[in-house]
Formats: sequence, C-alpha cells, structure tokens
Amino acid sequence: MKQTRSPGATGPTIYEIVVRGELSQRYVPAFEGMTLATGGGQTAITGPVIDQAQLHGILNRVGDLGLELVSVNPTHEPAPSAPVG
Amino acid sequence: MATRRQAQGTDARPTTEAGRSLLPSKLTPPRISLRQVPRPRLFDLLHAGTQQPLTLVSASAGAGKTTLLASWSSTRQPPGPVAWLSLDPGDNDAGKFWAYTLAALCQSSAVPGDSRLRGLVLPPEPDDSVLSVLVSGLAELPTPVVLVLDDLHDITDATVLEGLEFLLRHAPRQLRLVLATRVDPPLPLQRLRVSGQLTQVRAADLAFTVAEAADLLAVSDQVRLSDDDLAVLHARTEGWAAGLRLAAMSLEGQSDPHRFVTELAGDDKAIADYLTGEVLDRQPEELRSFLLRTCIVDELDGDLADALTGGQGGESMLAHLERANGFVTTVNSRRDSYRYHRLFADLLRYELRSQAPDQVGGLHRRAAGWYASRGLTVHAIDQAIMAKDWPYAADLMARHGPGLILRGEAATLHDLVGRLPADLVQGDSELALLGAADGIVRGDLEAAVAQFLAISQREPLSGKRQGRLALLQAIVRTAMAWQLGDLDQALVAGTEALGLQSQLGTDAGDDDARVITLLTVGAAALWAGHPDSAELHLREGLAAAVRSGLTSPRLACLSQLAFLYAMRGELHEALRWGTNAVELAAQEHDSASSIQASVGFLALAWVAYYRDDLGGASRYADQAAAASGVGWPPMRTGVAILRARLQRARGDPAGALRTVAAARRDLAGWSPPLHLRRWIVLTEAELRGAAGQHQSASAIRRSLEGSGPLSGGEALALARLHLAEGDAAGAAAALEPCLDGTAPGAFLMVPAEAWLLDALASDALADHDRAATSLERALDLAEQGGSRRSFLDAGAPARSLLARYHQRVPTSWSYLDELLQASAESVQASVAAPRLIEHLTEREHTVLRYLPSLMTYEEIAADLYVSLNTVKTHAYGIFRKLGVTGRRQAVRSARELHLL
Repeated sequence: MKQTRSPGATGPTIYEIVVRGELSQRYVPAFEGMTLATGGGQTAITGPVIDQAQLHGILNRVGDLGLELVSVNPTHEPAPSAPVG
Repeated sequence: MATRRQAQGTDARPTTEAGRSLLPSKLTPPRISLRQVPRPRLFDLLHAGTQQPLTLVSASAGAGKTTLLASWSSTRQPPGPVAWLSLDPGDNDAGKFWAYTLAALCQSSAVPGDSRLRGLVLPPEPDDSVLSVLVSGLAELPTPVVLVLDDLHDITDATVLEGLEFLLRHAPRQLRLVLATRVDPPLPLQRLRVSGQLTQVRAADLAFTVAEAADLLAVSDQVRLSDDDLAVLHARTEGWAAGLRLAAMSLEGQSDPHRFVTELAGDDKAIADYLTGEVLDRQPEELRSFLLRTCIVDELDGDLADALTGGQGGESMLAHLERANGFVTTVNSRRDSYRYHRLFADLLRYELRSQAPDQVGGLHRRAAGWYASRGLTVHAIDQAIMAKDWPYAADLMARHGPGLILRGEAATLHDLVGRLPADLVQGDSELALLGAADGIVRGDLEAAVAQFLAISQREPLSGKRQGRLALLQAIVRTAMAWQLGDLDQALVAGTEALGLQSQLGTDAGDDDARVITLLTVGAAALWAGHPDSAELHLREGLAAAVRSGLTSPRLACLSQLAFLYAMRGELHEALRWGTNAVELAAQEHDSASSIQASVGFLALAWVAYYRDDLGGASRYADQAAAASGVGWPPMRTGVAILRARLQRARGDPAGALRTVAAARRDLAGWSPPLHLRRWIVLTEAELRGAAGQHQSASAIRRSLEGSGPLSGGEALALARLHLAEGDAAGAAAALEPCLDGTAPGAFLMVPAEAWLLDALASDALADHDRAATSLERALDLAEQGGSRRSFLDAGAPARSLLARYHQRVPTSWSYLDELLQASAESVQASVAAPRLIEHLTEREHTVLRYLPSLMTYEEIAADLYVSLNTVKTHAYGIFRKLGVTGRRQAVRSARELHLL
C-alpha cells in the first residue's frame, strides 16, 4: 500500500479499494458516495475519502459483508462519474 | 445502514432500556437449528484450547464462528459450564461490559450460590481493585467456567480492553476464555502464544471441508448433488460457511442442481452477492417482502414484525424461517425473539435500499413507534433518527429526555442529539439544551453558561413549548445540583420541576421522568435533613415506579427509604427495606443499580452497627463505598461518619478522629447541606471529648447552640456533649424535644438512646425515679429495636447506671445482664487493641472456628468427638492467649487479628 500524501491534510484523497468478485447494484448503498466498477472477477470501489477514520470505516464494511480485500490505493485520477455495476 | 447496532429489547420488558437493565438475550448462545452439522475436528480444537486460559476464534464475517461455539456449548464437551456474552458496539463502556460479564458468569451453573461473585455489585467505572475481586472469585470456583465473548471486534474502548488484559494477565486458573472476533484483538497475546497457552481457530480451520459441505447440504433431503458438483461448489465457496448456507437455500427445490452449480461456478460475481440474489429471487413474493421489511431492526418478535409489515402472522412466519432455512435464529429462552444472521441482514438492508429506497424511512418510523409504545425510549429515538423523521425524533427526545438526564443517561442523550442535523439542533432551544445536558450535568460550567446564554437570546416560544423548556431547565439544574451534592439547590430546582410537571400534565413527558424527579427530590430532602417530606416523595416515587415497572428507580427508592428509616432509628424498617434493595441490586448486576444500592448498603451498615455487629457494619460500609464508585459527595460523608463510629467502638479513637477530620475537610470541596455539616461537626466534637480534648469539644458545642433549630439526632449529640462536660441540666434541656416528640427525626435519632441519655441526666440530677423509668423505657426500646450499641457507646457511665439500677428495673433481666457483660467487654476492648500473647495450637484454632457460632460448648464437643472438658480447656487457652475473658470478646479479638 503506497501513500502519496496524508489524507485529510489537504482535502479528500481519492481511494481505490479493490475486492474480489463482481458486485451488483445491491452493494451501491453500502458504499455511498463511491462508484463501483467491475471487471475481471473484481470490483474497484472508488471515491473520495476524507481521512483515515473514514477509510477504516469503509474497510470494516468490506469485512462485514464477507468480501475479500485485494488492494487499497490512493489515486489522483478522478472517480468515474456514474456508478457501474 | 444501521451503524448503531444495538441489541434490541423486543422481549417487552419496559426496563430493558439500553444501558440500564441487562438484556437477557445477550447472555444466551443463539439456538442451534436442526440444520447444524457436527464438526468434530473443530470441537477437538476447542476442547484442547479450553484446557488452557485462552482460545481465540478469529475469522471474517460469515465464517461460522458463532454457530460453531453455540453448537459446541450445547454438547457435553466443554470442561465446565459455559457463560455466554454476545457483545455489541453499545458495550464500549467498562461499567456495562463488566456488568454483563459478571451476569453471564453468575447465570452459568459454575458459580455456586455462596460465591462472592454473586454478591459483587459493580461500580460504574470498575478499576483493577474490583477486577481483582472478580479474579479471586473466579479462582475460588469449584469447577472451570468457559467464558465465551462473541463479537469481540465490536469492543474498541481502551478501558474495556485494558480490563480484559488485566483479566488475562491474572488468568484465574478456573477461567477458560474464548474470544470470537472478526479481527485479532489488540491484546498482548504473544506471551500466551509463546508459552503454548493460546489456541487459535482461524479462517482456514473454520472453512468447511468437502465432507462437511456434503453433510451441510445433506441435511435437507431436497438437495441432491453429484460428487463432482459438490467439489465444484466447495471450490467456488472456498468452504466459506455463509456461502455454503446460502447455496443450500438456493438449491432447495432446484429442478436442475447441476445447472445451478455450473452457472454459479461460471459467474464472476462475489459469492454472497450472487447467492443472495438467487435466494431472494426464488422466494415467493410474500416472503421476499417480509424479509425486506423486517431486516431493518436487529432483533424482532412477531409483534414487531407485524408492525413493520402491516400484516399479521409475523410470529408464525419467523418460526417458519427458523425451521425451514435458518434465515433467522432465536435469541432468547422463550424462543419468541429472533435475529437475522448479521451478514444476511446487511445484505437484505442493501437490497431494500436499492430496490425500494422510498420505503426505508417509513419502516424505521414504524419501528420507532413500536419501541416508543413499549417504553423502549432509546431504541425508539435511534429508529426515529434512522427514519430521518426529525420532528418525531425531536418530540421523543423532548418527552423522554428529562427522564434520561435524571437517570444519569445524559451522555446517551448527547450522542442521540449529535446524530440530528446540526442546524436543526442549533435552531431549537429544547434540543440544544438536551444535547448540552451531558456537559452541564458533569459540571462543565463553560458549556452551561454558553448554552443558557444562547437560549435566552432566542425568539420567544409558544406557550406549551415555553413550559417544556422551563421544565427542562429545571430538570437540568436539578441533575447538576444533585451530582455536585448541592442538595439544597437540587431540592429547590427539583420541586420546581415537579410543579411544572403537574402543570403541563401529559405534555410534560413520560411516567419515567416523573418517577425519577420524585426520587431525586425525595433523596435530596432526606440528605438535606427533611425526612418527612422525603418519605412522602419517595413513597410516591416507589408506587409510581412499581406501577410503571421501572426497576432502577424502584431500587433507588427502596435504598433511600431504608436509609431514611435508619436515620430515624427505625431499625426494623431500615433492615427490611435495605435487604429488599440489595437483593434487587444483586439480581440486576449493572452499574446503575449498584449506585442506587450503595445507599441501601449504608442503611444496612447503620443497622448492623446499632445491633453491635461491628464486622457486619464494616463489611456493609465497604460495599457502600465500593458500589458508589468515585462517589456522590454526601455518600462520602455518610460512610466516613459510620467508619469513625466503628473505629471508636473498636478502641481506636485517634483513627476515628482522623477519619472524621478528613471528612470535614472534604466538605470544603462541595456545598453540603447544613444538617450534613452539623452531623460531621457533632461527631468530631464527641470524638474529641472522648479523646480528652474537652475544651475543643465544648467550643464546638457552644458554636452549635443558637445556630437554629436542631434535629433529634443533633439534639442527642448535644446532650451527650453536655453530659460529658458534667452539665446534666443542659443535657436534660437539650433532650426535651426528643422525648416529647417535637424534634424532627433527621439524622440518627435512635429513641432508645434518647431515653438512656435522659436516665443518665436524671440520675446525675438525683431524680432517681425518673432515671429508673427512663432506663426501663430505654431497655425496652433497645431490646425491641435491637439497638444495643446505644448502651455500649455511652460507655462507663451507662454501665454504672445499669449496675446500680439493676434491682429497680423490673423487666428485661436477661437482656440487662447481657448488656452489662457486653458493656464490660466493650470498655475493655476500647482501652486495649487486641494482641496475641502466644500462638494458638492447631486444636485451639479448630475450637476457635466454632466460637462465632451459636453452638454451645456441649454441641461443639459433640461435633468434634471430644469431651466437654477438652473443649473448655481449649477455649480457656484461647481466651488467655488473646488476653480476653469471654467467648464474645475472643471472637471480636480473633477477627481483628485475622485469626477468623
């Protein structure tokens, strides 16, 4: 997991959280404010994260839903405009 | 999504409010459905683990942790009875966590009736000293006990985790801890791991083998899978329990299971996602709708289900769901309360929000109304907030907030207000004040000032809301004054609140708030020295608490009434009410109850003191001090005075003076009511007089005379001071209001004591007839009320009086003799602290253990299979070595020397 800058210090950072399995629309409310992009047997959950506390909250939700975490990365790319699923 | 996942008290006990009484459903493992597969290899792991202090079951959601532990618990394999506790995020409070843990332990058959764990009442903030008692109580258990803490990942509070670490570090040998969690707990496990004392059951262990998966699917005879398909399904789910369970549900009634498995294997969807869709799509519309509508609460019974669906038959539907496919499990012993599997509930909630987002608010609103109608206030507010129905949430808070504040739940209320939109709270005086109540009550003056300023600058409100706001302000002032020990102020503000409640009628809030206001005013009146008004309020509060089924205020009223009767010298009544109170507290086991019970313990301590059971008084005083925790200031004073009296009775007047002087210095830190201050001052004066400091004693006496009317107990103390100075006429004058019944009975007005003092004064004034009559009355009263300590505290003058009037007092011969003997011993005990002249022999120790009993020497001899003379020889040997002259005195000395 690389970290390009400290989230929270200069506004939200866009994070990409990849989980195994392609998630359906059912999961959109679980990750409010994030977009879900599926492909290749994985789902990328992308969106702005204000601070580490929020990030841990999202990771907990991944765990609560029994999903398998593949990677977590901060990114500078803008999030896709519409949820995909 | 429900971020505040509270265990919800749907078993309709109005007192099972979050944070108050304990929810029984948290203390039983979920019932294991018939569809459960036995898993011997994991049972073996647990068996090995529970031979040692700690077993950690750590794996992600849906791995089957709870099911495994619940099914193992129901077998005969655990090394001892299983105590079960299902944790939730609401347990991040040390008081609550340990209260639940203790309740779980006591509910198991591992804890015998006489274990010290049963009598343990926890303070709101248990520290290491309390946990030490827990540890030693556990170490003494006759059998090992398996304590399962399920969902430990919900515990993040540092204090709770430190306490758990303390428990592990001191691992009492009988405790076998099993922790089930989704994430490894932040506990120092390395030491245990290195020494081989930690057994771990992890995801790889929990994953179903192919054979176990076959068993799971075979439970339903509707499912037929070939070995190849089974292998494919096992590979696709990776043995994940939740995945296999969902697959089993989906497969039921499938005409072509092979195709189902092939499609599943070929799909890239997350397994839970795919299977949830399959399961839901296969259900009849009625069932599907039932699932989606009822998943929004954590725990439900048929009645709540009907309220949510707007239909009927919720109960049979839930029973069917449990029986047919394990969607839900029962959570209480009556089997009428159900819970969805957590993972499945989450998936259902997301499904609801994506399929019918417009229904979510309405469903939460229905749940809120249902909880409100059952008096489950905190749950009701929680659901109203999730419904985003702000006016309803605000209304619930306004109605129930006062009750929550007075019950010490201002912090919960603060959290609830914090979940409302900020602009709504800022624009509403009532909500702003409710949210700030926490800080104000805790004595955060800055918050108080800021809040009152902000409110006074607002636009005027409508008449009704203005009245409610005034009530709320009175309630907050009452709670603040109460916690600071400013009883006069609490009395003023509380009386104002009671008046406003009567004026506002049903707009004032619920029964709860009224009961607690009555209790607060009654207790404040009692401690401020107005027992008659206190009795009226406490009796009314008790009746209302019983009517509304509110346990905690009922316990508080019982305790305060017990203390009231003790202060009036009505020891029989004090004993009756106090016993009721502590018995109720022992059943409840939570920290709120323990604070309430502390006053009851103090009442029992005074009763024991007057009955000359000094050991009992001392134990009750310790329990009172422990239960009140950091302490409510007036309790500190009450306990200190009793302890000083005990020290004096045990022949340590210097220690007694130190105790009471410390209590007097403590008064400077708060605003004690006049009567409490006088009580301290008088006790100190008496102790000074007894210690030979007659000048300072009489200076204190003079300063009190002319400081306004005295209560009965104060007049008695004054008379004792006069007598000690040799001023019998002054004593007789001071006693008059006590004897003709015109003195108010606040603070230790023991009637026997008044007549004894009058006998002493009359004797000194050479009025021998009156002395004899008064002594006789004193003896009668002391014998009836069991207040023999009054005679012993009066010391040598009382003994001389008893001896001289022996012939003139026609009744109570045996009692009089007993008093003379006890008084002689007491005088002796008060001059010399006990010491052991020579070590006891083993046989003497054996006999010594019999001495506190009621057995005669003959009975002891029979019990030990020795002759009467042998027992007597040993007894005299004991007396000689302890430097005492009688059995009773020997017991007292032996106790002080810790020989007993």
